[in-house]
Amino acid sequence: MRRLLILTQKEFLQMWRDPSAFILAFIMPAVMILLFGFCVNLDSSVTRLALVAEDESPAMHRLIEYLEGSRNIEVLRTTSRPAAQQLLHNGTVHGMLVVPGQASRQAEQNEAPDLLMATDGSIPNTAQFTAMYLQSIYARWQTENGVRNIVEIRTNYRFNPAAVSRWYIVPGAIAMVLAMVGTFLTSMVVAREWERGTIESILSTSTTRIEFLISKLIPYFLMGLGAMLVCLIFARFVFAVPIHASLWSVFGVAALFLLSVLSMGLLISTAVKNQYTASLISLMVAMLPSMLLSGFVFELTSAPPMVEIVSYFIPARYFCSCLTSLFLAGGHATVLLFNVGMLAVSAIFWFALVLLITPKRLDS
Amino acid sequence: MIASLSGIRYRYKGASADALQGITLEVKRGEVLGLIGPDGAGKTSLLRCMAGVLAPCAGTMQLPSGAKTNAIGYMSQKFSLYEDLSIRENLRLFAVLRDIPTAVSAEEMPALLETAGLAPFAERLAGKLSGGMKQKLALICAMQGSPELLLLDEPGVGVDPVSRRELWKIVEQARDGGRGIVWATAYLDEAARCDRVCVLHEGCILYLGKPDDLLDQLKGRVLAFDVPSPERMPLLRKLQRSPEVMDAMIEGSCVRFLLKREQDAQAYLAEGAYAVQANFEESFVNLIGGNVQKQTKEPTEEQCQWEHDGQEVIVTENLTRRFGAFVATDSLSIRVRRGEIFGILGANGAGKTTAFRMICGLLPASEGKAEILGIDLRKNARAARAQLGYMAQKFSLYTSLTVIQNLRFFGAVYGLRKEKLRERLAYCTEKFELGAYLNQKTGELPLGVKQRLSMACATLHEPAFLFLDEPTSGVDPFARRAFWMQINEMAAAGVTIIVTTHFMDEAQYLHRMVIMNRGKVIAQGSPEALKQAAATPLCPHPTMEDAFIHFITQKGENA
Repeated sequence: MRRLLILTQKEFLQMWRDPSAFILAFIMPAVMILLFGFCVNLDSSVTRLALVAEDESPAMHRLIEYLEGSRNIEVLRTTSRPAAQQLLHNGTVHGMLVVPGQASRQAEQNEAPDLLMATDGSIPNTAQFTAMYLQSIYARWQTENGVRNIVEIRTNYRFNPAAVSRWYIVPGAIAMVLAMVGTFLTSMVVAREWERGTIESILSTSTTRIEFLISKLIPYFLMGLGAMLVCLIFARFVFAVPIHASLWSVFGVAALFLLSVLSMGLLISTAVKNQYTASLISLMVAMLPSMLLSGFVFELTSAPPMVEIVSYFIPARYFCSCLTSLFLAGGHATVLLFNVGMLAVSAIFWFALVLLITPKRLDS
Repeated sequence: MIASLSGIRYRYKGASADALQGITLEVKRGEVLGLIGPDGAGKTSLLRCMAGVLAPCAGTMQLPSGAKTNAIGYMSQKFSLYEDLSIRENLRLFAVLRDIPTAVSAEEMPALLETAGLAPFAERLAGKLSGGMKQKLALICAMQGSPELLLLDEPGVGVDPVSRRELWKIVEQARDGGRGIVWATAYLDEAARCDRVCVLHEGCILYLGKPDDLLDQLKGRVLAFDVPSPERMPLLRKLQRSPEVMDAMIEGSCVRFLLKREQDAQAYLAEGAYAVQANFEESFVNLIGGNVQKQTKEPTEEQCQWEHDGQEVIVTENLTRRFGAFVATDSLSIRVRRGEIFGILGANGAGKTTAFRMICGLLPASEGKAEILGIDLRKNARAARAQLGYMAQKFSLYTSLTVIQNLRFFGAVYGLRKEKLRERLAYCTEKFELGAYLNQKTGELPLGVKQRLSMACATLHEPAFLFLDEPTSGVDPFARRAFWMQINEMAAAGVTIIVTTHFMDEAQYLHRMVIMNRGKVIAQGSPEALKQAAATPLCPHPTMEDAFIHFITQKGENA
């Protein structure tokens, strides 16, 4: 116990004298959250639409007015189909709509008019939004003009009523930032002992492996919680993401998650024994899988089965699910139970692995 | 008896041979046992096994109440305390980690700091200490809790002579207090201070006993000739070829050699040789049965044809360099003649490297001037540089390139092309014995080979001047001997050599030198003259180290 205490105290002193850990733990999360919150935006802004109106009857004119009146669409009138196609080709517009000459006749006969819509498939996200906007405007026009309307679709987003993508991106970004900070912080600390040769002094004393590892976890665990606090402050006050669950439960799952990622950092550090390589590997290991496989940017349900299996080994996946649930739904018992359980398993798994490969002697 | 080892074997993972091949020895109470041998002899492996950081593959060890307790104090080769902790914090950390009760460590700490002269700096970070202070800190750290057995791995490496003496003083106190001490070193001159020595070579014990007995074996077998400079190399070659001679070496103005049998001495004495005191390097050569070093090639006619005109080719006057208010080098005036080996000696931080960089035009002087062959370096450094070969401290080689790639690169940098480049590459490869390593990565080479490669790179373009900054730092004594052999050969071929070093015993290889301390020259002349000047009634035959300390303390008193 005395040994653990003084070793932990030593880590704190080293951390205090080398402020880079503080920059990593407090400045980096702030910057990353801002970047993700502002730049990764899955909502569409205004789409530009090329319009070819071959039929200018009052009924069709109303449709065109709806389009021009929409906040989401900027209409560019063109005279012919080829001209509109040209605009679509060179990227000036995101989509084109042709109101053909027979449209009003079809409408009078209570038939759905054959409108032609084309969108720029090279930007799928915007293309989808363009299509969605057009369909909803068209649907409105149909009801108001008594055109036969069989099914009415009314969309309602639960938990995120305004469908603000930021609300689920920010929790995802928090998971990623914490994964990076946690892995990064500890990826240096064991390698540093090997590089500077201090490990030899430690090994020649009666320090146990558990004492050695825990003394490294404690200070960086606290730093990680600090990074979490920074993230939460930004989420709540800059991006106005609602946090429906109690702060205790949020910090609770964060603590469990930190144990996993800090252990992963220690594992990398112990395995490569070189600070530079360790930092590169931790960047790779922490950032990419957490971003790609945690499900916050890319839906895991649409991933191939193999990739989905791999994602079960990424603790960020469970943390991400927990956070989204806690933030937006106030925590759903079954969702939380499974994910918290998996986080605990993951923490034990990674820590046991580091313990296993931590050498007792210089050559083992 | 404190510790006894029997049949200790150790092999590193992936190595083809044992690093320790069955070591049997005892450490007695109240003795300093010197563990002596070149790099790679197995000193560090043995100490690590005893300290418990390596587990021997075979053999038994009886150590005071087992390893890893406060019964053993271990000081590793690389400084392995925390540089970002203060002296006091380091001491406290390791006191706790070694399970020394708080009361005990609190009581002994002031005394330990006092012995090491570190008391005034107790709150200073270890990283901000000089090399000597770091070693003293590491030593007292290992001495906490009064361990019965102290294992010290090369405590004297990279430490200035004054600090080295202080380290010895602390260790001798501990010995007189009844502890057993193992002091590992690659510097054979440290053997003289030990009570017993254990000479290691390739994992085997070659000799275990009193150091004086080791020298006594060579009684009457070490002789020397005094010869003028141009005749030294031919004489050396003649001696090296002789079947009666085990080892020969140029030392200052004389050539000294070791005979296989004492009977042969008579003939040499008749030719004008005189008997000299054997040194530990020679006894080591004797133990391994002759010098393993390859005989050097005869020089070509062309190389011997140069004017021994004593022309002064490097001249500096009041060369001064300031960094802010700090004067790194203070009015240095030297004159170096063609074909001379000129040394700049001093402890770490004495201003050697700064002086050296100004002389070869890498660093502009604040005041004064430096000329090479009459070219003022401030005005035309580029013209002078074509004549210079430069070997930086720590060997500036590309560690990820192979040996041949490094050679080709430096050849190209010096503007050598095609036929000329090929010819010089072949010549340097042979001369510096790099043939076996050509396709190896430079980073993986042993230090001695790196040094040879670095020399090869510096001499590819056949410079008339060779500047060597701490060329032998960290290199074991045998690589050092081979190195000085090459240097002597080049000097004999008319190359002017300027070298800095903090190893006082290397002074014997120099023709003339200056000794620097705190930026100022405190003595200059030939090694013999300096030693004579330092002779006092108390110490009539000082070593170069004694002389160095004499000059430093004398200047201190005057100031």
